[in-house]
Amino acid sequence: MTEKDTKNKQSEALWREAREAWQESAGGRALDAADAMTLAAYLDGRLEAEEAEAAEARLAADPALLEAVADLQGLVPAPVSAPVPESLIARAQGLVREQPKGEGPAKVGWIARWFPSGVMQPLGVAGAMAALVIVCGLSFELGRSGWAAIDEPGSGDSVAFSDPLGFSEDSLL
Amino acid sequence: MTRTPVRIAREWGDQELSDLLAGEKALWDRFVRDHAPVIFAAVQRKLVPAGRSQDAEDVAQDVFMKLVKNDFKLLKSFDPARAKLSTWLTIVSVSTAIDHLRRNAKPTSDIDALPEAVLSVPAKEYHWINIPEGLLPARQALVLELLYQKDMEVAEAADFLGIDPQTVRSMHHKALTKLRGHFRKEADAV
Repeated sequence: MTEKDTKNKQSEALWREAREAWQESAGGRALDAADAMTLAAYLDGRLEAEEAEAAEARLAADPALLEAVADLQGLVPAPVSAPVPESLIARAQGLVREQPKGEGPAKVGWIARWFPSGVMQPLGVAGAMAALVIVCGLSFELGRSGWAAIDEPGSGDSVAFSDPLGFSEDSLL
Repeated sequence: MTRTPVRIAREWGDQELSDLLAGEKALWDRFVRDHAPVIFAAVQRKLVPAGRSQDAEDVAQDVFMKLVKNDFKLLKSFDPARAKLSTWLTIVSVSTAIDHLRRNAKPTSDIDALPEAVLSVPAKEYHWINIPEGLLPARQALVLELLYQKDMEVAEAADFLGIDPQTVRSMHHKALTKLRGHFRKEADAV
């Protein structure tokens, strides 16, 4: 069989007819991370037969990608390089910032060191609720008996007042 | 514009990559310097024939952004056991450039500023081909695509696929037989 027998106008017309019938109106589909890895492995000749078939199916379906891969295939063993604008290097390097010294893991309080990491948040909530209950209880108690005791001059309960700075009760009024 | 001279980077080892993924700034800087030439060249290869060479720097920057985004999610998907980093970066760069061309199908540059050679090349439109399931094995479809759409000779297609030219001829023959049968059935149904 010669090449002439293989490629001919009639067969070409048939394939073009098929492509036209099957082509999607939308421009194409973006390559995802798994596709990129598979195609790279395909170009490096590191795919198993089944994976190679999946890569070839993708290439047969996506003419833009096929063109790109065909274009690059011969260059893969020695990848092409181009002189790069220094501004691109600076912009790209700026995408990752230096971590400030000492900025390691989040600082942990001395209480937190005694508990496993997942326990601190529920403990905090429980603590806040307990504090709320105590404050409510104290307010209630103060309202019920504290002020009443002060209002009653002869109740006998005296309130100690400390005056370390030498101010008298009167001077504070 | 200052340009960094071309330098082919050696392949990065697993340790360097995992240190980079841990967020080491100095390694990222070196990664950029080592791989920018490959990324920039791959991007240019797609953009220059489409008359959009002026976008190359921005598209290359998009590639770096993709690599860094979401705590290096894309870069973490690279598996050094399966392919070389330079090959993978080339694929990612080409794909980003193709997406850019699809998004910006109409040229925005001043028509007078473009060289005649660029204007004489019509912008290519790419359409996804949905081959009916079960009709053609992927490799047979790819053989037809390489021979007729990419206009390769049998030997070139064989080289692309890493198989014997005789196998390409045989696949071509089988694929055409299936296609003829498929369209004959469709015509009969009508």
